[in-house]
Amino acid sequence: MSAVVDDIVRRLSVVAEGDAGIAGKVMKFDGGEDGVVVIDATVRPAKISSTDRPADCTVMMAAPALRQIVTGEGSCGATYMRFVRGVEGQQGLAVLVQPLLRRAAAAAAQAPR
Amino acid sequence: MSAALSKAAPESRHPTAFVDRIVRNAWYVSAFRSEVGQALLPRKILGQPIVMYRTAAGRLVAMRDSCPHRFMPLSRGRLYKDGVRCMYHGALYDETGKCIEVPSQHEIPAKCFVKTYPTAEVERWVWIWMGDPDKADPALIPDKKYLGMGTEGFRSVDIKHRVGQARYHLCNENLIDDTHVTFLHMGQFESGGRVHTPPETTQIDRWVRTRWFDPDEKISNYFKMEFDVDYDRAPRALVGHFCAPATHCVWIEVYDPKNPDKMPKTLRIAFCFTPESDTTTHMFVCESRNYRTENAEWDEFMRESFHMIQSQDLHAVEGIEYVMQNSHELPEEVSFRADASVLRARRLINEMLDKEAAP
Repeated sequence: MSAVVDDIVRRLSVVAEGDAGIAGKVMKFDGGEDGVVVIDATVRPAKISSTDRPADCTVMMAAPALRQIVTGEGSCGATYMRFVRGVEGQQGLAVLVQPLLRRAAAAAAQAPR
Repeated sequence: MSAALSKAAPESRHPTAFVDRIVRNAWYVSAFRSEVGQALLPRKILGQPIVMYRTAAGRLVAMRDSCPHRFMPLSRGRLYKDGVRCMYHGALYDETGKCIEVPSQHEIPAKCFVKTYPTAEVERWVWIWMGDPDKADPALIPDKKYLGMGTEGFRSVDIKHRVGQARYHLCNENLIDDTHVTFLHMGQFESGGRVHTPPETTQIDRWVRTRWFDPDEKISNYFKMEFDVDYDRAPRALVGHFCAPATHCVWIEVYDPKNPDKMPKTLRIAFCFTPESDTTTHMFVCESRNYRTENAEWDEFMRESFHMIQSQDLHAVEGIEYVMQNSHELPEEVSFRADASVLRARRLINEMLDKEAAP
């Protein structure tokens, strides 16, 4: 697990609330050698971790690209288009989880620099 | 545009190289309906600054954005009852453009009026007619059934208005010619088979229709998420509609490979490329979909991803515009077989221009 994944998990954990838009499901971003970011919405509030486990939807994208979304450096739609290498399982979860990613980006924008 | 370019590029060779080839007797989109309220909205359409607003009763007004007294933009004035007051010397115009008050004198000069333009509101767009007002027939507004907006079972999303630094012909032709998708939008949409397969091209009334159908198309990662499908390959249709001079709708239909008779997941993207000036273009876009219609999350995803695709298109057409404006001379244009639809669209526009020029 890399420092980038650590940072993403920390940022998402701060803003995770309720079912994260994917009630009852588990969603995973697979960043290859950097590790994984798992959003577990089988519990409330959704739990964010870097511990690998089976998921209902897995999005393969480099961790630095995912970090761009959660820090607000790139929009979800455009970054997905450019950097997603593959999607497995229930594809729609990848879109439904985006409000959580945007909340992290909004929090980053408000954070003192 | 330089005189040198005009000389070097005879009309027959470069239909898009001339700056004065804007059809005026046609309906163009001037705004999203949601943009126009009880506030003054300035916008330049076909080279003319106009100002739009709504009266208290909700009627839409579009008038020339200049006071006939000293040409102060009326959009820098104030709404007053259902009219506009120029905040330079105070002249007040009603919603028909008639001057009804000049604070510094009692009589109103006969020539003191502001030109207004015919408008129509259809679904999510405001249409405007900048040409001969006697010819402004609402029946000439492109048929909304092709545009997706207001279709039962579809949810529509407005895409943020942008202005492209390229003439509207280039925007039209970029959209009609879908063989660019494989290269300009590499990897985002499809496998590239479309380049090798000529489309079916038909003309229905004023619409040029092109249709590609691939019974076993590779579905890109982006399309899997956008259409919420989990298959790697599926039958897919891409249907382009063009209504001269500036309206388009692209239909993308993804069929379930296990049940191809089922209604496909369909995205209808309506465009109007309204000339702002000879070399710049307003881009009005509305996307309508028949899947995930209850999920607002899709709206934002579509807006963001479309913004990126549109930026790639602008990268091309603004580059071409630069070449056109800055080349001392241009060689004769070369067309490929796949340009049949583009050439047909040019003919339609030229027919409209010829009709306008006829005595």
